Amino acid sequence: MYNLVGNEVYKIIMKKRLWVIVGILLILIGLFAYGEHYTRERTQNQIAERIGIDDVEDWREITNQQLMDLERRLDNPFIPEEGRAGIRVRAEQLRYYLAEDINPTTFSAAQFISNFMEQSIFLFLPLLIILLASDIVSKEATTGTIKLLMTRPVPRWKILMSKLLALTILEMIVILLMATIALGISYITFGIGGFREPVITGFRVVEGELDVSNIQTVSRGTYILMTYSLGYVVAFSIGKMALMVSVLVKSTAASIGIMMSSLIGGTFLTFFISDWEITRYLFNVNLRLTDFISGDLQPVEGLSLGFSITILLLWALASTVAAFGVFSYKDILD
Amino acid sequence: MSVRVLELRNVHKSIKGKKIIKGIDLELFSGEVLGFLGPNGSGKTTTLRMIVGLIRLTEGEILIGGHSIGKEFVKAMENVGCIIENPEMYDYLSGWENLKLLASMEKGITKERMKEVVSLVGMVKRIDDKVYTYSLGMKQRLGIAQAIMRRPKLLILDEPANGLDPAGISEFRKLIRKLAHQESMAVLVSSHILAEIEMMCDRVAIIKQGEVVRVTTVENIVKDQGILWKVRDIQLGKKILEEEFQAAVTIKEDQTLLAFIGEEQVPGINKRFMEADVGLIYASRNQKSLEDLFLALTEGDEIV
Repeated sequence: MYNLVGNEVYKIIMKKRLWVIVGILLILIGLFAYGEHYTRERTQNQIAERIGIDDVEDWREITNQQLMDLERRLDNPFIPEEGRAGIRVRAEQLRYYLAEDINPTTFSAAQFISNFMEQSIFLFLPLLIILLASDIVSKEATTGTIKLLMTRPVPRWKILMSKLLALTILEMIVILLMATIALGISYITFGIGGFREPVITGFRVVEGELDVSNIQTVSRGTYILMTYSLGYVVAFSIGKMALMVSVLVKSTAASIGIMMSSLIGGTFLTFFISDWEITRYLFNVNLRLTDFISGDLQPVEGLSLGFSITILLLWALASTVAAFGVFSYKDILD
Repeated sequence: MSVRVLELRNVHKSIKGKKIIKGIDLELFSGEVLGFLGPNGSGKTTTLRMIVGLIRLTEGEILIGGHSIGKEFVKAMENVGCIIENPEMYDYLSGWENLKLLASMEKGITKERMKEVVSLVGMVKRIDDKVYTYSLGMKQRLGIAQAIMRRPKLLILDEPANGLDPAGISEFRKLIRKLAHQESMAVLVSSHILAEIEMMCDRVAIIKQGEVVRVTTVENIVKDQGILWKVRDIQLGKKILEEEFQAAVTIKEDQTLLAFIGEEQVPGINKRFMEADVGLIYASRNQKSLEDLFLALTEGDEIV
């Protein structure tokens, strides 16, 4: 088994797929870092200009101003109730920062790293995993090399298991690559480390109200570890689903297409039919795991971290069962 | 003493309700090369795929070295080396890396053995190049190398001469006969090139519409390969052969008479043709014996 997993990892590395992923990460994280840097500066300058202070480093004033802006928007009768809840949460967070003397406007390398995962967990990370996993069986079916594997004195389930384990290892590598590249680029862009700075986590929204009873303060370093672990949960389950599609569909293009469209289509669903009970059991609705710890509002009400992780793992389990069932019994006809 | 290596017992296969294979029985012994012939769509490749476990049987049983391919897949496959259709390899790896990868999937294939098979198939110079730079013939050689490296008792080759040049084909033929007769492998070869099969095989099995219609030795085919006469008066010649020599006569496309008859009768027939003024131009041995047998057994077939 050890040999087989080694072979599969070797094949993925030799296919140079990982280099494509590194390339994409470098370009995207570079752009993201630049964008983040640019917007931060602009908002701070705008606010500073409006309230007539020269010192953009005075975070208390800026935060106060942001808070007032939010309260003003809450008075606006044209904002729908769903929007209000979000604003109320954000305002509550700012108030909390002010009261606890925590500066929310500083931007450190560490903050960028966790932000990057928060922003990519529901679309970009799954896309990378799809890129990695979608051809793992289908390419062997298209090129015919699957016949080489299946005519060894090795049972079929072991062949698929080796691919699954190799994939699980590479998902981890992708997460580590994301962290490393984000760290490298953000260090160049933002300089400051900031791994010890406190982060407040544990905000919860219950019926449009902010629940602060579970609030905890952790260091940014711990927070990064938490977000990237959640990222791994997403990578793990998306990988298993992509593996299943790769078993079911012979063409790699179709396999990537199916995974991408269900990922993006699911995101649309959350906007349009978010009050339909069944949507909460879709995997795509449950991808924003980091929002639970950062305190952002979930698109569908009533989700919790435990629930979302359970749903994702159930999807992974069901996909794995289906993949093994089909792979072990299918006829290789061409 | 030759041992039964492969046995197919009443093998059936239906795909989506359509009967592709309708009860095949076949045996293959060690040290023997069996040619597997059949027109397109006759179920040749399906049968080969069932033997190596790529396709499941609907009914019946396939035993390799006494192990059922369905129930004891691993034990059965330990005895098999194969190329099914094209010799696909990982083209982003070198030939050697491909062999190493495949060898690592089972026990007992040493580096020495790998080197040995590489030189056996004549790939020593190019083995470290990436497979995408290989020609079809070179891929075919690499395919043979991976098939024989575990010293299988049963070697299955689907269209192995595809893409080989004439020198390559002749080398390959020698290699196959050597493997069969010196290392007493049982070899099952499917091919469209009938002359190739005739030169390489000890026996042939002809399959038609999912059934084996004839299993015979090549020796037998050559023995009753028939005699051809080119004559001016075809009808008269036919009449003489049928009435006076009780021979089964067919008139071939090129207007020659073909009769399956012992060689010792030929001088008598020729003499009789002279007397009857049939206009004998030449008489010869039928060279395309296997092709004639093949066409006779499978002619008029639609692809099903």
